[in-house]
Amino acid sequence: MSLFGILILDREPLAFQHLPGLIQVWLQDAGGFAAVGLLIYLAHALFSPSDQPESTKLRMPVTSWMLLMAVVSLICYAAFAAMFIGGIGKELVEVRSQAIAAEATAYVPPKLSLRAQPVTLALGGLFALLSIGHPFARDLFKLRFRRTFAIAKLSVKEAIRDRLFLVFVIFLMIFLFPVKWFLPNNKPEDEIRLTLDVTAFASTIFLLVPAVIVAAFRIPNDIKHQTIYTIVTKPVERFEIVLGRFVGYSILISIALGLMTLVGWVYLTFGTTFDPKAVEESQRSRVPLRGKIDFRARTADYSGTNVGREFEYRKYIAGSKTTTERALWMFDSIPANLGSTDRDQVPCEFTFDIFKLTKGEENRGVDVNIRVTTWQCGQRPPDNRGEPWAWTDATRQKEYDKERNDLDEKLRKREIGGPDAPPSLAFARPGPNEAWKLVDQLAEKYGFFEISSTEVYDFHPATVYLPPGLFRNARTGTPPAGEPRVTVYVKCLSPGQMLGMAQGDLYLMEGEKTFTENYFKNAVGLWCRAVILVGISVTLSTYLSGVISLLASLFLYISAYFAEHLRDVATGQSVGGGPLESFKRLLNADTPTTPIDEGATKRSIDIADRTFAWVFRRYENIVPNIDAFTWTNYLKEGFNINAEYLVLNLLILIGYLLPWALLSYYLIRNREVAA
Amino acid sequence: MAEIVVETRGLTKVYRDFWGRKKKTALNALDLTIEKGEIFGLLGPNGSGKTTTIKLLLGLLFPSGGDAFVFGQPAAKVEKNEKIGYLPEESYLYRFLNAEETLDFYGRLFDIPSAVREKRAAELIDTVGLSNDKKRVLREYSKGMRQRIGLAQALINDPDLVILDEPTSGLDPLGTRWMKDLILDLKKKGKTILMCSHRLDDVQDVCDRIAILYGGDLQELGQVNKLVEDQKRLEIRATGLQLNDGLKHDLAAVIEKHGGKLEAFGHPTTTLEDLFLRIVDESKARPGRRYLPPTEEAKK
Repeated sequence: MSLFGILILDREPLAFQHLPGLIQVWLQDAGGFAAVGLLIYLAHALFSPSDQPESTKLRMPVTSWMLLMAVVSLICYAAFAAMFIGGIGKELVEVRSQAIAAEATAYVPPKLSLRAQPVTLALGGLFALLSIGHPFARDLFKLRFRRTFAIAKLSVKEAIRDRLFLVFVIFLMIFLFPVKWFLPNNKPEDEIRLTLDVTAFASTIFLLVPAVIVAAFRIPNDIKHQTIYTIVTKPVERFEIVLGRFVGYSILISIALGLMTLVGWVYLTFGTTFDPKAVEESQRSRVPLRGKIDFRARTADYSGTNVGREFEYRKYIAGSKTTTERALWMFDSIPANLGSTDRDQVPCEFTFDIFKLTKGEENRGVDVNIRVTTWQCGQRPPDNRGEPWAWTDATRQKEYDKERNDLDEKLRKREIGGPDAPPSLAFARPGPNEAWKLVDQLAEKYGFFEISSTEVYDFHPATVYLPPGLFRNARTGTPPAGEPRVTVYVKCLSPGQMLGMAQGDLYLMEGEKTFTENYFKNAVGLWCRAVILVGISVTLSTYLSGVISLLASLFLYISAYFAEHLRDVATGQSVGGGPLESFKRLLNADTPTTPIDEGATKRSIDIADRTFAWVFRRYENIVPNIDAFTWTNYLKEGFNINAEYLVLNLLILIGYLLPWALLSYYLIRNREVAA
Repeated sequence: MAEIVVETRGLTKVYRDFWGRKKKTALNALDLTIEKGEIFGLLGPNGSGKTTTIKLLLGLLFPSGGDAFVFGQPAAKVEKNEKIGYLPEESYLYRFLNAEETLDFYGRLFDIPSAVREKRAAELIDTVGLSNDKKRVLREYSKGMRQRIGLAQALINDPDLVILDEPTSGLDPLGTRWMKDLILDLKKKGKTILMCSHRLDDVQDVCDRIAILYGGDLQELGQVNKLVEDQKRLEIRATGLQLNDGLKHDLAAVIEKHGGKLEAFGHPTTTLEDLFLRIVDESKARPGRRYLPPTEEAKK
């Protein structure tokens, strides 16, 4: 077994299946802010004197469409308020993030909910966006590529001729020197990991800092130095100035990042100083096929055991020879290459957490049974304690047992399998040998394969090899609705031990891609983060001064690194209470868990903290999800950055920047640049 | 009736603080029309509302009351800028660009196709006399050179209305004359020009009509010739005569006979600008020292 890294996923990677839920949440969040903006806008436009100058009416138009959509939006929000007060069609929180309702603090991707409250809220947001976005959408048709590109080109020239970027890129080169020169006491196999970590950190700093500086200062400087006079007096839509600046800085960071990535890649690929172990571990790009996890046992309501660990991401199954508890990974679709006749095995990799109830055997791990079945070989839990899981088709199971026993018998007698045949099919190893071919044929015929026992260690990656025939069987025919094509059942055999698992802990190895491709994909993550920061800075700079824009952008961006803590405060789950309760505990030198005496003080603190939590929830909505764009862990542990994940995150990027674009449109449009 | 290019109706601008409290009325109910093909001058001391009027016409500021129309369109409409060329008071251009890049940039903002842009930029650089310096970045330019390239960018779209804010600011007398000639040349081509300036002689030289503002209010409006005409006095010019007491006496007698009074009698003076330009032209024709210090005899 070759060594490889562990990719510990603290959250489910986003997939296209999450898209409907993400859109619903986006409509609720962005739509909510749009509704507030719309209210202010309409109040200002409609309650101003009717004899406004023609120019003012042009600048702040109120179209029939806007009014219609605003009314529909208002009806939706009123309906939501009525349902909320009346307690009808709840489940709002479920859509937002199940973490709010559950005790878990980990991020859970939102799911689409068709209950009345979330749907009404999303509709309210949608109509608010359609209303406030109408002038914006209409003016988008007036944008001209030549003008926008001219401003973008100007921005690039300006930053390059200022030599700001050049200075940062030169600084970055320092970080490309071998990491072992600076951090000599590390394991050789970690060398590339550390290099990637250091270069990722350096790139982040040396890319984001100049990007935010140029983005935050240029428009205010144009206004301050009045260079903007010669632009807005041309037939330039004001939003073209914002868009041009944004595109320009995005091009600039793309050039700088491209350069950094290229140099980094040359260094990592052709640098001969790396330890071979490091190359073997990190310069890979495994493509995992991930399934959905579930926990089942004899009892219907079993959903895994909570062992009381602070971090609730994993659930545990109890170990015993006769346990009926199983962790299941279900794979709905199976790519054709897994069942290809050209390959002789499909690796199944896993990393489990062991929670020891007893000391167990010294220097020994935990024994695990792995059963892999296709949809044509259904399994069911036993009715009684101590009985094994069985096939749903008992006759088929008997046929399998008989055929398997016959083959084992023949192997033992050396009638088949050649001179080097193992004594039983259980000992067959992947490769061009007769015994493994028999295993493969058997798996293809019955859709069943089992590894009776394999040893695993705490958080130590392990691999078992599955016959490709199993996947050929899985791909034959159409399974009933809701039935996965392949299911992996994991059973813990060691008594007194508990095996902790989460969805990302087991996967099938679909294939391998090149490290180069993965390395460049990783750069896209950093690019997304830089673009987010530029988008925020440019928007804020349309209204605020350069320094304030810079500070506000950085504050917003950096607070994204404290998203979990923010979420705790926003959902009222932080240990020691909200800001006021914590402050009181500080003053009284109380521990975070000491109960506060009931009374007027506690009630006041509760109300204030709930208000803070509400404010934090709104703030959390505008904080970018930086974590979703940090993919260095995939790269350094040798895992492919999934194209689906990449596309989805680019969509998230667009979704995040769109409301900022809308805000900048209104800010620059209504700004007197000569005031 | 001539086509109206610029019109303001009760145009008012009030500056307010953050809380909406009134700070200053920069412009008060200005009613103005500028017709096609005329050169119109806005005059007034600092803070009289000249630049505010221009900024309101260009949409750099938003009116507090009344409205402004350019080519019949509200000032807030971007499309009107297609036919406007604007030279700001200071030439606020990007100093890291050279002359060619500057004109290319502003040409792109007008969405002018590449071939037309290049041709027009080359012509304008030549017109403003910067052909030898077109590759130098603007930060290396003198103030006068920046004003020239500023004018070139204002003309890149071959505008119908040219708005010039202090066009001769920073220019030497030669440059000033060049600028005035250029303004008159633009008028000949049928362009409408709106300019504001502190230099009254410049305005008098080129403008057809002027408006005089003070404290945000319009104080005077009309044809320059009419406004400066002194109806109480009469000017007689003659050639072929020498100054002498007899002539003076005779003239005074004739004037008195018609009920007037002789106020001045002597040679008319030329302007300092004319003198300067004449000397420069002569020096160009005949290089070398022209001025000779007066002799001792002459001093006595």
